[in-house]
Amino acid sequence: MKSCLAIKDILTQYERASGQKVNTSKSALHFGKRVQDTTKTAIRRTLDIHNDGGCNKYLGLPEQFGRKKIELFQYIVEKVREKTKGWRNKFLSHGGKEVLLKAIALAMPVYSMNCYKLPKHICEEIERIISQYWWCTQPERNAMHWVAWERMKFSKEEGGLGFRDIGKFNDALLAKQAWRLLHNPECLMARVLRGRYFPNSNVLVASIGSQSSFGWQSLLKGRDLLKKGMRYIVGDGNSIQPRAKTHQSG
Amino acid sequence: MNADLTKKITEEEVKEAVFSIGGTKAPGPDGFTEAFYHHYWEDIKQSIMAEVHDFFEKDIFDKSMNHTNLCLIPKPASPLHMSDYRPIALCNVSYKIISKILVARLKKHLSSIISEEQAAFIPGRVITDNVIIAHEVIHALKVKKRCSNLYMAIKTDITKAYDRLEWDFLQAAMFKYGFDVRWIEWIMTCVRTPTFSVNINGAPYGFIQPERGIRQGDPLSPYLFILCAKVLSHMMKKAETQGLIKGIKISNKVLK
Repeated sequence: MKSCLAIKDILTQYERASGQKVNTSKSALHFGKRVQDTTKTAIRRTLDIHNDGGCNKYLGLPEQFGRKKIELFQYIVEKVREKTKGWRNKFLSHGGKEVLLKAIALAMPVYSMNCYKLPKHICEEIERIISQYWWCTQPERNAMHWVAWERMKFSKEEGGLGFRDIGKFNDALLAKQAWRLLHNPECLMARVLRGRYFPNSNVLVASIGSQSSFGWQSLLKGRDLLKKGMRYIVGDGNSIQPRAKTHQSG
Repeated sequence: MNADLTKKITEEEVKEAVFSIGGTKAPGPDGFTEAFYHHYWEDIKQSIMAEVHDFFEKDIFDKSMNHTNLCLIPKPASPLHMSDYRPIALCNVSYKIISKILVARLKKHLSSIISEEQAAFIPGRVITDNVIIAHEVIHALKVKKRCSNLYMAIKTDITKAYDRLEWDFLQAAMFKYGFDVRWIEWIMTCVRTPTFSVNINGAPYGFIQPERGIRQGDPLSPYLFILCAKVLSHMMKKAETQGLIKGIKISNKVLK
């Protein structure tokens, strides 16, 4: 393909000028699903990149999701498990454990939760690991959980310990993304999403649509949460649809 | 922009720079930590101001101040080659102050120079935006008929991105962006003057004079790097307007 050669040209030119080098063994190509095999191999050869992209990670997050999302997010659970395992042989006070859990274990999934809605199963598993660590007194042995984890999530004034509910926190983060969409509609992300999913309406009324991506589905969950806490301020009345159901309760 | 970048340094700026450096970071070769500077700020204010003044007004710069200890951090668990290490530079705080002042000024103007595809290191942009965009594009490659026939995405990994950067390239790039000569001079002094010793088993060894590369650990480096990376994305854009490559359309909007 012609454009492939053009890209190759650009890359080598840039490499020469800046002294940088593309690491072909770590780079990847990702083709459209219906690109023919012969073109694929031709392009691979010209660019000298032989990895297939799509199932790797971009900026630390999975690029693409199939049907099995739990497997894809399993790495977070493993990370949390590894971390708490290391802490088990330390004899820490309850206060120490609390700080460790809140500052590290509960913070680990946050980056992924910024963009995606973690499956319920993953959240539960992380919480289980955390609560196991909290109650265990001897390494390698399970212990009695004297208080339900649900109650530990209450704030300290309410008699809990203020551990975060991962699922709810996830929703909150996604709501923040949705808010960004609403607030800077001209940023690149907002433009991309608007072009793809709601060309003629706004975030608040956009629907999932057909063949939507997992990221968008996640974002809509955040949007729904956002809607609960929002109300319209009547201005010139341009953006309000008088017949829509949502306005009547507020 | 240039007027703002090259205006006179105020005490306020210096103070901000000093206190924006985290207090618990590893010290450079002279052994003074940031905490020292924070704690005795009132006492050493005068001499720091004089030093900063020397750099910005009289172009005097003591090269030994820019001596840097390199700390090698292994990337995989058991490193075999030199390239398995990530060289982190531990700069002197006195140098970092100057570098931070430059950064604080540059930051304000970055968003007008750097195109919006670049999200990292620029105030007001969020890296997760790019995750969502990439996710959307790849999803479109899978499900959208028009996209899945003809398009592809390339992910490139750049080896030792910081360490291989050519100084002349950086200078030329900044010149093209229309930075003031004075400003470029400041930056290039910071980039060209360092010398390295390598920390091995707790003691510094050797004396290396670099000829290219920017340091990982210098507050300026990320910003200089995206200025250079901008060149690549600019070349891509140019090729697109010339019709050599075609951006993918996941809807009626155009993207690279």
